[in-house]
Amino acid sequence: MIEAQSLTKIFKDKKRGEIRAVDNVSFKAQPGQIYGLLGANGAGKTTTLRMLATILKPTSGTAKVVGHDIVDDPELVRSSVGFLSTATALYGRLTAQEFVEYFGRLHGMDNATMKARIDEIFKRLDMDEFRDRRCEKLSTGEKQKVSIARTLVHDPPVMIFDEPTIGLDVMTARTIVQFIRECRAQGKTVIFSTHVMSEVEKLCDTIGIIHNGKLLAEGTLAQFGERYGQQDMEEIFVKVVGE
Amino acid sequence: MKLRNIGIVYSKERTDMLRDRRTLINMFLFPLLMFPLVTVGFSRMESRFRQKAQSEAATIMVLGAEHAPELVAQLRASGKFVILPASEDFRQQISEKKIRAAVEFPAGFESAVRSAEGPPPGVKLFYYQTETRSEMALRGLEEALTKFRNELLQGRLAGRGLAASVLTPVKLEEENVATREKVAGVRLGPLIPYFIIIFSLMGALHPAMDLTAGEKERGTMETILASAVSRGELVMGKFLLVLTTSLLTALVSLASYGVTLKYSASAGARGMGAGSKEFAAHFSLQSLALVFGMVLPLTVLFSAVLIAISLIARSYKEAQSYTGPLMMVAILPAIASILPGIELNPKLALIPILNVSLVSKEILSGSYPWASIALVFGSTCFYAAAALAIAVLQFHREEVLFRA
Amino acid sequence: MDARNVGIVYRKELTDILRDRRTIISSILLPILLFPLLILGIGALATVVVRKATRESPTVMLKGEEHAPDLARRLRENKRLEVVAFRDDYVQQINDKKLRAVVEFPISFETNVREKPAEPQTIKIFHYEGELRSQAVLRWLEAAVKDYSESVVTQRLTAARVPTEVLNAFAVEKMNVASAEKVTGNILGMILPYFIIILCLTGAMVPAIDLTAGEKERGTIETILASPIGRGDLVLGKFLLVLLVSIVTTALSVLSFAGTVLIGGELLAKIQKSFVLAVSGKSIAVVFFMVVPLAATFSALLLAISLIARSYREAQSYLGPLIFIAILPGMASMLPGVELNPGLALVPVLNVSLVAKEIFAGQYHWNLIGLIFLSTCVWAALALYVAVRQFHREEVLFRM
Repeated sequence: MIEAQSLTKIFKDKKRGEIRAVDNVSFKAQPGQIYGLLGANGAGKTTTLRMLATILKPTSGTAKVVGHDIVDDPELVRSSVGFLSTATALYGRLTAQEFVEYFGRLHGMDNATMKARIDEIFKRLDMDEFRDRRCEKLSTGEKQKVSIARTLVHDPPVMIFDEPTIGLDVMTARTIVQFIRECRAQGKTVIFSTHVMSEVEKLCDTIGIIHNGKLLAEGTLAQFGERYGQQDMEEIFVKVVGE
Repeated sequence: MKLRNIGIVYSKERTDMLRDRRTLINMFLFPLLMFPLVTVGFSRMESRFRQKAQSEAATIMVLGAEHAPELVAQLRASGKFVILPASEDFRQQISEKKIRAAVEFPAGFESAVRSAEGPPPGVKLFYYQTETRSEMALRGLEEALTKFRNELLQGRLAGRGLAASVLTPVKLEEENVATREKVAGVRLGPLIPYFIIIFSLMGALHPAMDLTAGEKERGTMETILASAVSRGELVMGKFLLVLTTSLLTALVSLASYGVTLKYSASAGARGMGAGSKEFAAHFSLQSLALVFGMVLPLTVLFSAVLIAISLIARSYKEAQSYTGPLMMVAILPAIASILPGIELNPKLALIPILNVSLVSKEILSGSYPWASIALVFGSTCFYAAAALAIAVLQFHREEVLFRA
Repeated sequence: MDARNVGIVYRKELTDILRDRRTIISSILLPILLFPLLILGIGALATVVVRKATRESPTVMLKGEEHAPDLARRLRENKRLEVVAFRDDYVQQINDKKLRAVVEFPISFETNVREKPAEPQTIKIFHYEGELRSQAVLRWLEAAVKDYSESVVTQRLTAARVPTEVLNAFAVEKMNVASAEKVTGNILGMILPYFIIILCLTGAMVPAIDLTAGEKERGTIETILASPIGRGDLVLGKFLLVLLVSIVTTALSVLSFAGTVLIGGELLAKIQKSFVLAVSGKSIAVVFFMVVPLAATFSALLLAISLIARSYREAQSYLGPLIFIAILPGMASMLPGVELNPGLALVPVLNVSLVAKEIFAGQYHWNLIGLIFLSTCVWAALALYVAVRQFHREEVLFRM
């Protein structure tokens, strides 16, 4: 479970002065559920997720990820989280297997457990064919699978996805979406950010609309529908932001 | 900080780097090969051409040859000169390198010197200053004139019943009493710290940039930052790899230098003085080891500084633009070891790089100023520790890791 | 081929590169600053070192000075040396650099000098071979002994009632007939051609990579290929820019070097005897013209090769070894005695190196100059042709 408490991140830019990328954001994401962060580019989604993954430190406020505080115990948080974003690229000169093994080791897994786990993941994701191929020689879809394998190797209870389907073709995007559903089915806490409305409609149990760093509205698709008398997420979004 | 994690990061970085074959070739193989090839090739060519130039007969002109028939005959007989008929424009011909030199005898030269009456006549030598062959011809002419003069003096003295030895009361014999190690140390010693410093810096350069700015560029920085390894462990693992690479490069370059010296007789013999032709760089293992011990904290310093600086850059190219000028600055103190006459003193012992350079020079020439050695080692360790601390701090700063 | 399009490409590349901080630094600032800093810096350092060395009084020991009271006295009176008391461990002292030299007089030295003029006496000097100060002392001792020797000779001649003029056989005067320009030019001719060729090549490298592999890396190559411009025009526009940068870098470096040498020479003249330096503008102009087609060859060649690379770094790894083709022939200018002849005049790069050396020294073999100029132009045209061909090959442009 993820509990964000008044998360705030202020960047200092030489030219533009102070930028409140994330402004006092609080929300809860429950295990076995998918929380979707919806917002335009620059709204603060990535920064929020990065803070949850302890890549960035909040300027103020904090969050609890499976009970660990992101400010006080970042390492414990990281070992409980699987983080995937468009910027989480692969090490080109390592093979797919070596790449996943590296992260497995960093998570403290011993060789035997890790081997078993990797075999299992590779089988499930249909990756055995390119197991020993260097990452730089993989297609985009294959690369994405390797990234997923990496996030799964230590079986984290929390999964954080930052715009995971950007730039992917239809088939690969479907694989990702399918995978996200599986995570939920396994009882993991899932949070992901996107600006693709159809994904939101398909996947999210709870939706949080974020704009200019602020969490403007939160609720299930049904609740939004009632509030704004709309079923189309895009229209709802425009209305919320317009306010 | 867990040692295990540092080890995991280190071995991944090492595997990664070893697979970047093209870079390895360009970084290590190429500079290491180029250096001996160019040095040996150049000095071989240089000595060959020099010998060729020396063995050639120089074209000269003699003006007033009729006033010094015997001397001119000697010049011809020596086989070192090709004497062209004299002409008015000899100066121009020398300038245009058509002839190498000219000698002018005044009227009545030989009769004047034979009779030893009247003021001594003056001979003029014309040449092209700084032009190699002209200077060689000049020297040849001077030698011939000296020989002639000596014969003349002998004759004059004999005529008065004096032996020629009257003119040479004292002969000088110069004997070197310094040990072979010390001689080698003074001649070649200065170069060794120079190379070690330069090459350890070069060896650290590419990995430092690739593992920081390069990672940012490839987008893998975020991946690793989201993983279970702590920032401190991450920077230590990377740092250790840069350090290993740096040391390896320095060692290999030293070996390369040693091999080069062994096989280039010409480069060794030239300028080394008597008794050193059979080259044996008798640097005691002890002194070499000590020098390496001095350089070790320096490589730590280099690796840490390069990592700290490259981390600021957003791409490999940008990192290059920062580290480039840094390299130039570091080279200057290294050169100081080569310049003669700069000797270690307590003040200089605190200047980084320069101090290691100078103290190594001393050690390799067989003297062990223990106080200075301790001071240099201590101060370099201090700088290294400071640099490492800064590098670790850099890895904790978000504005550096995520520079937008 | 559309000259207008070539111009458009050229102007855009020029604007682009002027905004690249790295190019400004490496192609403009660096050449200007490098030589003055390096040369003047080292020169200043060397001067300080020399001054310091000459001010110190090195220590010398005399062994057996009872056999040569007169010479020993002279040595003690010599202001340059400091004679210290003799110790048995002098070898160790020399090794430890506490003592610079020891002079050993043979038994009955002065007596023998006086009474047995037919037998030369041998004085031994112990020193530390190769050590700077020991060698300096050696030279001074040699001079002191020579002075003593001469005074002995004078005495002997006087004693034999032989006038010392007997020893003046004849005087020799050395006269340099080459003008200051030729002398300077000779020196420059040994060093400059090497630098010019290297700079030409390295100056072209940065823009060549940037405009080819760099474009691929940034993803802009497809955009420009989809525009109405012809491939040939595209290459020419880029080529002209690389050529410009190469020439500017070389010119700035040479000017900076020449300037430094002139200033340095003036400073030197104050310390040492007059060594007049003068550079002939004509020689620089002619060398410049010879270098232009060479720069063109390099530019085109580098463009052709770096286009194969997929990224900036890959391109660097291809071009790096190419420095060899400039270094080795370039070094030829530094070797004494290597002179230009019709045979060598056809070897690319080497010919420019050698002819530049001649031109700097003020020698204008116009027929050879013309030959070299033409042959380099031919190479340049060839290289440019290859570069244009490369830009037409899809497997090169879109290498995966």
